[in-house]
Amino acid sequence: MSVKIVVKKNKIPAEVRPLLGRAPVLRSEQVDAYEDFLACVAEAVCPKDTLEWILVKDYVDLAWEIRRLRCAKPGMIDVVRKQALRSILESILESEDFEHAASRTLEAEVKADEWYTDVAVKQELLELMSRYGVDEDMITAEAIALRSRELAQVDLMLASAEKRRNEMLREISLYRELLSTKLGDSIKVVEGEAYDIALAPPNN
Amino acid sequence: MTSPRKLIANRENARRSTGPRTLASKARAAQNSMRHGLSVSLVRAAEMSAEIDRLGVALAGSRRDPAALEQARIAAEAELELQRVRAYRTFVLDEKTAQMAPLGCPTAADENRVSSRSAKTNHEETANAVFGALPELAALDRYEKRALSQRRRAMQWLMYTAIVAQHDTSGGSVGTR
Repeated sequence: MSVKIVVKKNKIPAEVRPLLGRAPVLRSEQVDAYEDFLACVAEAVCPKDTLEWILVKDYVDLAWEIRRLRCAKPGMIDVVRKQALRSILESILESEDFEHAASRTLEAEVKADEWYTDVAVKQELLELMSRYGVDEDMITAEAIALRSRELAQVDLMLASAEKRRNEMLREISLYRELLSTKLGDSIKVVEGEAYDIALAPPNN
Repeated sequence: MTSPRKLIANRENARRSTGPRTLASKARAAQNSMRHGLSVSLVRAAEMSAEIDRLGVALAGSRRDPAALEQARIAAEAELELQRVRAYRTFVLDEKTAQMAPLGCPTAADENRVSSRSAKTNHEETANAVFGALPELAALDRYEKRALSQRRRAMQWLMYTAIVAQHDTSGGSVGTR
């Protein structure tokens, strides 16, 4: 049985919208998807004032960036798959396997091209690779190795963005906790019931 | 004492040191920090002053005491700085996408028809842009971290002092249980 989930979207108030800055959406990304995500998070959090709206937008922007970086990683690996294949072929091709060129490097380059255009050649190469204990997963491994430095940089940026995103949630919680403390005091004063509470600004 | 052989090697290595040498390349390198302007304080940009004031008043809420307005202004400046960093990040990635597209191949930037292109194509473009812009993205991370830290400090000051002010208004301990 399929369940349709209806999400009520919380719109940004007109007076707050200009204060929040533009959506960090690339031309290759969907603006509607970003706006929907922002509206859904706002619906869940129900921001009460400008400060909370700023924190909500921050959370959404960081989540968006995290999504972008996570999607970029497989793309960065895929782009060098052919180079990885070429590298592997260069190491296993013997001179009797040469069909097109005199050098191992050039032969590997031609065969790597044919891998993607000729199914029969791909099968032959898979059989050749299997003789050396190499399979398609090792092409991926080689591609990752070729991109290891860049992938490590992306991982660092991801960790940084994830930490900041989580901090946004904590800031909203802290703000509401302090707000409820403030409101709690007001209520206690009104009801004639109050006591000293030790409060100190955070140590910066 | 450095040996003559070592001295010659040092001088040879120093000649190979990187950095602009011609007048044209030095002039170009001098403009690097102007490209994004993120090292220039927002306050110095006259057109930003009104924006900072507007956001500062919104963040201060109902408070009008000078200290609160000052902290709200600091928080507003940091927030606008953050927006500036993120806008520049988007610009850098869009620029990289345009630079890395094969000649004659339409990109989302050219056609502005993201929805009609396959998701795979868009993902590939984004991946290429991220890869191409990695050094710049890492540098922007530093600016973002600084702005976030400044904003957090100012906002937390506002939050805590609002409670203290409330408490002082009510006279500290009020009434009895």
